[in-house]
Amino acid sequence: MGLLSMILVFAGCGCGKEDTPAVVVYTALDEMYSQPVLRAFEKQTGVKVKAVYDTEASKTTGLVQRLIAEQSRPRADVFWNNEVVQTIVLKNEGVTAPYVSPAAKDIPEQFKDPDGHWAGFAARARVIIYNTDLVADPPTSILDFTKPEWAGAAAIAKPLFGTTATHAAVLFATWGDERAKGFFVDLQKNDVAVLAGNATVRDMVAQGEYAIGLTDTDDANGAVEDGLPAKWIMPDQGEEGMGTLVIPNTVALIRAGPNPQGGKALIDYLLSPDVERMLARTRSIQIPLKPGIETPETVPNLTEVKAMPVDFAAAAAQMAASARFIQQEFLR
Amino acid sequence: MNMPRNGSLCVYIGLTLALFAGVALVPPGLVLGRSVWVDGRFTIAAYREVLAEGRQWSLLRNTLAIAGGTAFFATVLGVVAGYAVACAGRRMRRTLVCALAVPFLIPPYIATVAWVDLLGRRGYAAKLLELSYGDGASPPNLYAVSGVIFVFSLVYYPLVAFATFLALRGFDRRFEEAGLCVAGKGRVFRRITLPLVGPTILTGTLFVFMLALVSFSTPSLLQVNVYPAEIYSRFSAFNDFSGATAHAIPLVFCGVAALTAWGLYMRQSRPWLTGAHRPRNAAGRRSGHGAAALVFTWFLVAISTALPLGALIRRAMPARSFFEALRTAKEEITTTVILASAAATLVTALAFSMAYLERLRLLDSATRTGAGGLRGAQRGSGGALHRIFALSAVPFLISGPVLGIGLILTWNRPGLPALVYDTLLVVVLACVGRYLFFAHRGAGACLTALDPALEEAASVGGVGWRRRVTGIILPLLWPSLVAVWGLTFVLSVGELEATVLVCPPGQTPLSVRILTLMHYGPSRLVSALSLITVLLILAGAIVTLVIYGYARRRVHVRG
Repeated sequence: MGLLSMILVFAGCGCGKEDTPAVVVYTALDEMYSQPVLRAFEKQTGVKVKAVYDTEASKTTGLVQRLIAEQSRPRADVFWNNEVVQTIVLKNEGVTAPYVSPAAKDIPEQFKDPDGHWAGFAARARVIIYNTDLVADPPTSILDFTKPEWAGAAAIAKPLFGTTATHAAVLFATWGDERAKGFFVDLQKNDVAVLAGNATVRDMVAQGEYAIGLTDTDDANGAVEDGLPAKWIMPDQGEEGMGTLVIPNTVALIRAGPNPQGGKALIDYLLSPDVERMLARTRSIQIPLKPGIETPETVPNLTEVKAMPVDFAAAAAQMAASARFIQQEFLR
Repeated sequence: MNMPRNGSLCVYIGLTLALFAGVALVPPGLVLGRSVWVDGRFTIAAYREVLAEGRQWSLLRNTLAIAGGTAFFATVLGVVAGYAVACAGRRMRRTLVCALAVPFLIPPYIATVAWVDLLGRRGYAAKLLELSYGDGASPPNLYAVSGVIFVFSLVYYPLVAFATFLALRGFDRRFEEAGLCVAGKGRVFRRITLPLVGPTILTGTLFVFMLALVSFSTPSLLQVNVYPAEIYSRFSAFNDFSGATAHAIPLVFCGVAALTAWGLYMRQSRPWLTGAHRPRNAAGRRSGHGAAALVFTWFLVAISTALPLGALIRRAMPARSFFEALRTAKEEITTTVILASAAATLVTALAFSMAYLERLRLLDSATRTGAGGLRGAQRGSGGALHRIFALSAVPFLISGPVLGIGLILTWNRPGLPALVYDTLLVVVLACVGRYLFFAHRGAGACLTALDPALEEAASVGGVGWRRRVTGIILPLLWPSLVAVWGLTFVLSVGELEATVLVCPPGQTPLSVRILTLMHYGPSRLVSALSLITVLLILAGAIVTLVIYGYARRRVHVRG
């Protein structure tokens, strides 16, 4: 059995040459949403896609570290991230290559890299989720999480990983160190719970463990679709509000990947309106960045959302410093 | 007997050393090198920075508390369970051994998911307590160091139980009876019983300590900060490669300290361990203590097996979830079986080769120094080879993610053929690296127990080393090697922490798939896949047991 398995390891795993070279994509978007898109690409082009999905344990960054480690001989052609900042980290590490896709031309400039290393599509937004059995008048700003009325009743995900880490870095970049640190200290003083991830925040709020929480549109919508006693709102939408953080998926070509032509074809496909439409119709209700894409009613329209003006490159530069403060002071 | 020096042996030695270096020395070495060689110059800044951090103490405290606490409780539970097995009659013993194996066959992250379902903030226990005693009642907090110790103890105690059973089975009670003629029970226990059975039990305790020391998944799921989780954070939150590697050093230090202490104790006790010739104790030594231990052990088995598996089954219902899981994860199941079988085969072969080379070296050394054969040589130093092979603990101790990065640095470089890195072979090497230490210890112990006189006689008769291996050693040893294969198969099916960093595109093992789906919590599909994983492991264990039983019968017939 052992010898047979050794033979199978060699025989079944890439020693044989395929007619059309496959495209290798590392994707941080949840498998349940990204796999159908990749299958549709295969069906449309006949090019096989081999995917490595990210896991809950390693979050986005397991793949990012892997891409950095593989830099001397990349195995991936494309990196499909579910947020922006780690893609910029890859660009800064020299892992990505510039590729300006013709499909990216009508994507708003703030969601594209000026040097063409990445482009954004299908976004999520940070939202406040609240338990409808416990809360009649939900907070309207993330600053409300520091108010005494929500002491011990609010939850956020650990701001070292995923979109919560991106959110923290963006706050540091937008507000400056002093104000951002003050905000996190106030959260700590107000006994805000720090949970494992955004999905846990959603679950805990829906179960009534906490009254309010900060999470993403995809997680919050899951609770609503499951008929749980939860609703969500976009924070900071008033005239004086700073807007909510809109985080697009990003896609980048890997420098010196084994199949650059296939990689470019996949990038063109991912940036097409079809993919934004497809992702908008999933439970994750991802928000199209391109204008004129018809979506279900539950999906927010980007033109009606007050989005936080963000310099993602500055946020990426702040990432290490904000994470260090959060680990050493906020999560002590 | 001189250590034979001919071409084929040189090739054998070369292949063994090359494979050992490829999985156990080069990956950790490259990681270490990269962490101190930054921007073209040597620096230990990352190590200084890590050591200066105030939170090192809390990390060290949590890590050692979990490893030590688990080792302690698993030993307490395991000794009672092992004693119960030794006291049981033949038929019940067999059933009990099978039942005790099940908790260990459940990968820790799956057990954790099940215990969260049972004892979590909104778990079944919480609901039951709320119904019985109202809103104020809640189960003990699982999200703490004590929670991790609780889960680990219930997963790992069978290791100590089996060690205890083996120790008691191989223990000659005539020593005790002789002692009782001149001393009291307490003194006999301290001076005779404990030194006789202690080393084997302590070996089980050491394995538990090591497994709990480097485990990431359970502390991470239960949100407890330990070194392996910190290594993940350093990689993921800070992109800090050197810092992550620096955090592996305390793990290596703790592991080496435990191994050294164990080695010193074992060296002292070694004469007691060479008792393969002693008669086995008869089964069914019934006593009041034995009966109480049996009742306790069945209760323990129910707690550690039925409750977590029941929770998973309850969550995975209705039954169609299993079929859905089977349908969607066919490829992952196939990949896992191939991967674990290949890893178990390679690690067993390598571990045997290493242990056999050490034995040849010892025989050679004994003959040269006149130490009186293998038994005499064992009391002396094992030589350079023994010290080099002791490094098999390093890839395990540096934790999965660091080993994963090391394997990428080793095998994914321009000029090297893609045969390793672009195929499942790199995952096989990850599993081999992680579990070589255990396999090597197991194979070494089996070879030590083998009477060297047989080989010496064959050697005197002019039989070459290859024929001695294939004609004497392997036929006598293969039941034990089957057991080593089974152990590494079980561990490889559950391996996650290095695999997740190196598994090739399009070939995902089941463990990685489960973690990919866990974003949405312990869902129906995750529970169904977890149960399928447990069934796979059980199937592997049953196959191993059947082959083991067959092999033992064959060896007895030959003997």
